Amino acid sequence: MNVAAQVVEGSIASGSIYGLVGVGFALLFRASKVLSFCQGGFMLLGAFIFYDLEQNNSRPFLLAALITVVIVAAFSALVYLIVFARVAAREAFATSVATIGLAGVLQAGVAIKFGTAPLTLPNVVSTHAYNWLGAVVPTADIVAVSLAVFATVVLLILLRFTPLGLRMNAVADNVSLSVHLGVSASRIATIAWGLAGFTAALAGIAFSLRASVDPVGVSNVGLLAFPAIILGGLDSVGGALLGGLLLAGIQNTVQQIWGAGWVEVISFSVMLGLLLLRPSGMFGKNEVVRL
Amino acid sequence: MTTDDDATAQVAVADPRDSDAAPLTPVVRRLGVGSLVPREGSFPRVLMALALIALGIYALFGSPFIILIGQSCAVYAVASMGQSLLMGGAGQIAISGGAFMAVGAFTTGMLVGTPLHAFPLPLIVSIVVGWIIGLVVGLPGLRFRGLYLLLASLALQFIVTAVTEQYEADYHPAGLVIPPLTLGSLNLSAGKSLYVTLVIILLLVCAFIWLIERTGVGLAWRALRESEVAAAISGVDVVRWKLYAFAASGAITAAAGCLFAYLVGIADYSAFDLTLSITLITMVFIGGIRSRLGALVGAVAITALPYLLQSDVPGWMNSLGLGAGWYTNNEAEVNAGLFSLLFLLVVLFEPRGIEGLLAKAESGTRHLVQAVRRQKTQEAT
Repeated sequence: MNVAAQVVEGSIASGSIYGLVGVGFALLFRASKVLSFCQGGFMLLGAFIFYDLEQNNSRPFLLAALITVVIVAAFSALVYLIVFARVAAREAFATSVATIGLAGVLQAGVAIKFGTAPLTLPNVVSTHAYNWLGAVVPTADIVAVSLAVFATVVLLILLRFTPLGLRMNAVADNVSLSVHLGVSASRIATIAWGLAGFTAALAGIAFSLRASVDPVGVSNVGLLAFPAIILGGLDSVGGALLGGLLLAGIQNTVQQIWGAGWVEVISFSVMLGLLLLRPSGMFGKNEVVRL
Repeated sequence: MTTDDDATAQVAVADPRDSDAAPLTPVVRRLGVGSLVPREGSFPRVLMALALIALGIYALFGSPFIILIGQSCAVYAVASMGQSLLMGGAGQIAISGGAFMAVGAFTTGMLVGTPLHAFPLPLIVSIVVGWIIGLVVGLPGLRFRGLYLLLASLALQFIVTAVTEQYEADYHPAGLVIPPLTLGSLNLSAGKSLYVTLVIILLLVCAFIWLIERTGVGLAWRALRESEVAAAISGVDVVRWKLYAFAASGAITAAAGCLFAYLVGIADYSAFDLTLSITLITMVFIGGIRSRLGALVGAVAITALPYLLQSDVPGWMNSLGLGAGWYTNNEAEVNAGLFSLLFLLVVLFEPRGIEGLLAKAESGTRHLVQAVRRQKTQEAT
């Protein structure tokens, strides 16, 4: 087994999870200028609904994944409509702060239902591990990466080639102008929340395939993904996936060289440095107002 | 129904006529019994201050358990004041309160065994260290408007947690032990004496903030809160004063961390996680983000509520016929969920928190009383 190859493999697999979470962030930020701190909460919801379907009802993988994704996406859109919609249109910043509260509610709900101990899924995908270029690649990692690539490609196609994507781009570009041209900003925001729930649920599923799940651990992934989003650029969907891969690469390299204790220090120092030097990230639009 | 309608109609008609008499009322009030009646809008603050004073005195003469709650209320109140200075005073939101408390606590822990270990010194060093870290970390977050401070403070929170965890694992696996609090030969380490010490420090912090908010510095912060653009146009150096607000808030929160370490007797990284930061913001928002008094009320409410729930909820649930076991088994999670929900609702729907609710209740009552009075004078004539 080649250490370097294994680090690359691990980076791609965990990077795709960061990427999935980040893609949702980017969609939300584009649609409503809300920075969601509850992506981790929705990811948690996805992971545990999936766990429940597999453990207690032993559904086939694809069916369970489909049910999970639909439930979480619908829930996310519904939460937006019921709780956030009226305030979000006026005060994106207050809404961003309020999502911290939502994350706490979701985390507490899951912890009450499933307990705080880590839970391990039964084997839903094959336990076979391939040996590619000196790295051991478990099937779960392949599934995780394909979920991320699938979701990002679908969203990029949606944004580029469909009328809905055109509207979403218009809202991201200039809200008031697109509203004057007949786009319903609140409907676009609802759809964006639904899609963010969709990617977060996929991230939760991918995470639960690779590791055991516990409420605090999973919802922290939503926060640990922040450096990835800043790396990619807050409003770039494709950039979020690349940022996720890059962040995971940095993290795994740091872990290999200095040990696990430095992972968070380095990734968040990178984030602070980026905020200072290049807040728009690699692909973001430079629209911060400097005073 | 008709009388209600008449009353509102009377109010609407009477308003322009009243405006002539309005300038006279302050003079009348200052001379008469009316001076005892609080001015419109000050009722919530008077009520909150009285409630705090009453609770503070009650805790002083309470059982040891009550004094214990009072002690942690005082410590969290200092932290909450620090956060409120930033969020309510300068209008900047950050989630790094826990990180700054960790800075204070670990500074105190590291000073044990050095010449600087005697009591007021660790507190002062904590304040200085908190100030410096605030200046350094504030820079990336405060150069730009809006979300960037939130993101930078999140990064700070994770960095501090990771660094303190690493430090603890390397040097003090069981946490940094803090000696009992003594001032010279005075033993202030427990019970009433510790409570009084903490309250005195809290009052000093409050007085300091009260004073500073009445200088040009406070004015600059207030201008930032209202509108950064307008403040910049009026000649306020926006970046500089935002940075100082963040650093001052960090310094006060670090002081709270130092006091917390003395209270618990140990500095352990796991106490100062993101949850603590969120709890501190919750205190500020629930009490009322605009006023420092609100931050105190929020701190007391959020600190004392879990103890109250712990002792009372199982009883309530039993009397409702529900098993008490469910709550006691999930107490930490249920409380966390409740507070998060409360935070969510307050931020979205009542950003002025308890103070705002009281103000609404006050103006509602005043309108009702006025309407009734007008009705009566109407009937008399």
